[in-house]
Amino acid sequence: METNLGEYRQTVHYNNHSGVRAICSDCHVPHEWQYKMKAKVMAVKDVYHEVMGTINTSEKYEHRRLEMAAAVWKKMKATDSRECRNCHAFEYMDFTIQETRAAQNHQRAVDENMTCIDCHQGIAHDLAPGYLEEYQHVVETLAQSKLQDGSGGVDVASIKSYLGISAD
Amino acid sequence: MKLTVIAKIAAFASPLLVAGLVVAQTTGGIHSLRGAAVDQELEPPEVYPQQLGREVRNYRQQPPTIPHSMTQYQIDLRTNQCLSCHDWTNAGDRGAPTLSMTHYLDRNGNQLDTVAGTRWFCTQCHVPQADAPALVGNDFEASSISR
Repeated sequence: METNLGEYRQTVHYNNHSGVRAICSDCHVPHEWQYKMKAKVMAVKDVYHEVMGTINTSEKYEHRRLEMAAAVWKKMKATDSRECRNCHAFEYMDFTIQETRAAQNHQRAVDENMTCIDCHQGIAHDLAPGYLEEYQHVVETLAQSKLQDGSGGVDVASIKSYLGISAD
Repeated sequence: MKLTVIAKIAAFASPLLVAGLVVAQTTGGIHSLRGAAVDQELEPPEVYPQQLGREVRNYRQQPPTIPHSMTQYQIDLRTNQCLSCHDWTNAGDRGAPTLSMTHYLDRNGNQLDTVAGTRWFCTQCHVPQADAPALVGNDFEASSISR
């Protein structure tokens, strides 16, 4: 838990112009009771691996980095970036004071029903090699499992085209 | 024979060495990069904010400057986040300028599909644009101006 903490301390969620800070739990623990309880039960796994020293050297950490990131991306994508939206919302954004490219891409995200994590991977932690491909894989497996559930609703093609991977 | 030569050299060298040491001690002493003693407080350097909007190149081969914020972008051995928009695979969709095709040539001139290792660290050449005074004085004149 030291490596990821150190990385987070280099980011805008730790130090920024407005002096508002988002701490670990703001992004990693849901606010609603039922999801929070589920997260706390699942956290037993984290405690276990912390005690067992699964990621207690930087080599071990790097070896697992992509896998751990993918697990969180999957959660974020499945919940429409729920924890991001505890603070951030498209409705609160003034596109006119954003950088042009940010405003354009946020407008596109609204139009195409995208979610925060579709673009903002690695916002608080370093990214492993091949992260874009891995995120793509996460999106595809999620969409497939949703199709099997029959709920559908995720436009994989538009996300694919946005990420620059040709739709097949 | 040899010994006398060494003795002569030593006779010349040692006063020179002593003189040199004396001069070094009397003129200035040590200059640190910080420019002041550790217990002295320094004026913080001016902050020059980044200019938005693409700047015209000053000379033909100038690496284009960066017209957007990039402080939070990871560029290290593992990941180069610039490529998530500027790589040829993504640039079209993200509406970003593609890397020059020279950046896909390795040092032996072979065409690659991924950016060459020699071009990996973007900020070695491409810098964020700001209207800041030059850190080091120079009398560079662009060929396009002196023409």
